[in-house]
Amino acid sequence: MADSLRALEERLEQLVPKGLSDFGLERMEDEIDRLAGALAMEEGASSGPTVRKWGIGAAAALGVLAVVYWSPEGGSERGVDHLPGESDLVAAVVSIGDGGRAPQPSVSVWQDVLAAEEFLVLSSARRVQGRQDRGWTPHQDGGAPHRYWSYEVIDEEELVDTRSGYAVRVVSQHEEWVPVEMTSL
Amino acid sequence: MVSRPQKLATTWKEWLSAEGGKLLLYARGRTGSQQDAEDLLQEALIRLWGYQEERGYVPPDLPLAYSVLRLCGLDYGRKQGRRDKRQRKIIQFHDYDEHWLDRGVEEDEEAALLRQAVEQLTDKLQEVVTMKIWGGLTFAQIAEVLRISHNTAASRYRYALEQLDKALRHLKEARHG
Repeated sequence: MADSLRALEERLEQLVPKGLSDFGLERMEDEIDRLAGALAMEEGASSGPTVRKWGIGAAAALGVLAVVYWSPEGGSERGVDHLPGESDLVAAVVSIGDGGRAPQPSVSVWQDVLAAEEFLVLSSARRVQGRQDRGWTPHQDGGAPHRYWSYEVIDEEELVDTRSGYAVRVVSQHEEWVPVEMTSL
Repeated sequence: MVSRPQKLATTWKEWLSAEGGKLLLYARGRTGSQQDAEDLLQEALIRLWGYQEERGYVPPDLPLAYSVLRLCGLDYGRKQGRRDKRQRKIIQFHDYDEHWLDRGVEEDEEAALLRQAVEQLTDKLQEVVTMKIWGGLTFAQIAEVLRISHNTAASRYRYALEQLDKALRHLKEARHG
């Protein structure tokens, strides 16, 4: 290879690939947690000792953690309650026990579950919906102008209180604004 | 005690931190924006996790990651349509600055021109340069990813360097008259 091309090659090697954005990295790490959580559930379901370790109540809960009651704002449905101070956070207690024969837990049970000192995170997932262009801001304090994108983010977590075996699914919804620096071409 | 899935999650996050930038650079060549490139990488990540089941879910090696990312990129291209992709690239390019390669603190003018020249390479040349220079793959590995011969991979790389050299000279002349 000609010397000029070798020199060019060396110059290219000095350019550094741009990394993931903070938001992108966070999104992908959440995805990894979700995949690992699914694997944990899969392995837990096929592993006797692990199931026994979690307790029969929690093991039964694994099978029925499926339903979440979504209440957009302000409403309170059966089995659903809003967390204090978080208007967009919804918690739902799902059926626990042996194939529906267990008593229906009270609406406030989620408070006990979330207050538990040790709970098991069964899964954690983040869904990102609808990107919207929120316009841009000019230079401020000598900094570069920014364009803002907003994303509707829905987080879902499934938690089990390992002592009682009660499970709860917490759904939160919020909007994230991500500034992207604008520089001239 | 840390469970196996938790350990795996940690290992994958470390892998993403180490290789994410290289893979994202490749994804940028297949999409019109950073956002789309990250979406593509996320899709590849999910597929790779599934593929690695038979290997105990350990993070993949880089050639496999490039292969899967390339397949995801082909799907993306089919969905978007070539014309739409080109159009979006142009809009993105003129919309605001969003380079694939980071600006170094001590970046000089030539580096900026070089970066611009890389971004304007054709897809086939760009992917070989990306995998060779920033992915550190051998020509044999690149050939395997792209399903071409070893010689073709080497030729494309050499041709890409010649194109970059030429483009760099043109850009310099255009800038300095």
